Amino acid sequence: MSQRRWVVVGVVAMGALLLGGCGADTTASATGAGDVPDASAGAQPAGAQAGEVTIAAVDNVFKADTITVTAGAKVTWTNAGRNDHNIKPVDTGQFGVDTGSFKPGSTYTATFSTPGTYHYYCSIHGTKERGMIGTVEVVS
Amino acid sequence: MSTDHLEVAQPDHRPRPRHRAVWVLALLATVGLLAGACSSGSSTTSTATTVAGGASGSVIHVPADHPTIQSAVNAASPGDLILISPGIYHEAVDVTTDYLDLRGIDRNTVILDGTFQFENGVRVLGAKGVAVENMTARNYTNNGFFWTGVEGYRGSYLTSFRTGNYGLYAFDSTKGQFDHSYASGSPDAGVYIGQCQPCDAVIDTVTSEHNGLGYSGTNSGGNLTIVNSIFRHNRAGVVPNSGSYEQCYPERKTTIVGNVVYDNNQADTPAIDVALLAMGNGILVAGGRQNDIERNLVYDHERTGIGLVPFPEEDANDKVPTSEQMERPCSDQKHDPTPDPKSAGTVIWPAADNQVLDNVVSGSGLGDLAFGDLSGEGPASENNCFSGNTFTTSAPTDIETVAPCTGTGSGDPKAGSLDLAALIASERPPAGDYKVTPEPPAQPNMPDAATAPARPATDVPMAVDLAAIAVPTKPTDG
Repeated sequence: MSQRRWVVVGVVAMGALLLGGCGADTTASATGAGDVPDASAGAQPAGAQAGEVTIAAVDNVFKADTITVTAGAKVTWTNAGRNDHNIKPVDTGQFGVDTGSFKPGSTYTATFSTPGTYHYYCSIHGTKERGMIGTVEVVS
Repeated sequence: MSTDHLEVAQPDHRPRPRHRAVWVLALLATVGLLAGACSSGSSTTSTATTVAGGASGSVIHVPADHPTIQSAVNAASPGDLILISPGIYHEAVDVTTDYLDLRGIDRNTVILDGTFQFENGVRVLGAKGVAVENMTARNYTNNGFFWTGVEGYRGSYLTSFRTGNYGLYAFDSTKGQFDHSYASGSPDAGVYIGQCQPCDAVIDTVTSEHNGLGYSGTNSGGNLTIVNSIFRHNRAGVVPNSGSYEQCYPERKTTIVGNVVYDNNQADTPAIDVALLAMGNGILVAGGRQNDIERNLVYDHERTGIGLVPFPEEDANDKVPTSEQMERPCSDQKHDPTPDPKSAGTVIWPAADNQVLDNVVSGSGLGDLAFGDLSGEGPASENNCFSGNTFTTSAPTDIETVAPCTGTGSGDPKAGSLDLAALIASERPPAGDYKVTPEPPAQPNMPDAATAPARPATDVPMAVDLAAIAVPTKPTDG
């Protein structure tokens, strides 16, 4: 599960590492996520985020679980937990990352170009409807 | 969810009409879940929470009525008993219906086998009051038996081994119970209860061995009681801990009474990093607070028998909350704004306000009882206290004088204190492969499994008379 390292503050000051095993961040990119138009897309609500947006995949929830972004936004998920997680789109083929490429400490980025509602989940800790689920709302 | 096929089964060909007890659902919905107003404490009695009256529905036989457990679950209604005949079921069962009872007729021959392809043996998602009883799960890439986001759960007479994460796992769940169960071969923990406050849960009569951690509870506590159980031959035995990788931090108010914890130095188990870090300790509170550790029998550990230590979290997602913030229930904390992932740097979770009373501890390499710190200025007790224990060694040397549970401490906390930084930096044997954990011996069956009526998890957690629990005797094989 965890591939992290632990450092004691007092030891850090002395430059001593406590435990090895921290895997290098793996950044995957997915583009064209918005290929499937969604009829639910409407006017841009207040608070829609543009540019680069981050979501934390902690154990075992996406925070924030629902975000609203403008078309073209880059959404980056960080596995900020100590469990394995993955990102599975409810509607297949849009975006997502497998467990092996999203170990603790890893990141995954998808660009959402087309307005729509994109639901996703972690298959280890949720189903399409329950558990560790999230939604990216993309507005014009 | 993912159902594959039934490999071996002894089908019962008698058709059984199913009488839907619709009134059961109505009753359950009407009665609802009643909160158990319990407080943890060293000499209190945990009270059971009545979720709903003891109604029962139909009995669905697997494979006689439905060929797979998942198909039976999909067809079930609240209050139903799904009775599973012996066989090897290559399934990953998802349960989303409230108040079901999934039961194997024989614990040792009703086997869910994930063949190292499926993630979870039985996973209960948001469904209230689901009980899983008397069966085995093995060879899953993540968890054997997993409840998440539920109110009311029970796992009884379960065996889990060779699982890539946890054996028995309750996450973000309250009002639950694990009893008469066995877990081995998990790199993280054999038994885990995390992210709940208050948890209102009991672990009773469980054996956990050959895991990274026998028990782990991250950010859990609050009427969470661990009693009458055995934790042995893990890297570390019982490890309540805190971290910002789950919500509702920190861990606090877990009660650990009357357990046998021994020989948790096992060098060949699977292990996550934290298990490697914790290796050689019996009961190790790693960054937890306000825990009660009483009347346990703890022996033969390379480091500490009972240790209270701060926990360093690198690349933390958030800082340690204030005292006021951490008093809020988990249901509130979960709605806090999202911190930037890994933005808080290295965070030290202090072990504070824990009390260690009347335990019998022996055979520890560095101290039967211990507390440590990472300040570099020598240990401070952090209001942890030790009294009435039977022990030989401690760190600091006069631990019950330095940090007594009554009166004012005296003496030198630096004398004989732990060199915690050096311990953390030291080498450990590498993790083993969970897929090769030995198969456990046959485990005791649930009484009357084939004939007992359905018993959804509506009466959990069980009542525990903590005051009646004495220090256990040494097991004959230990």
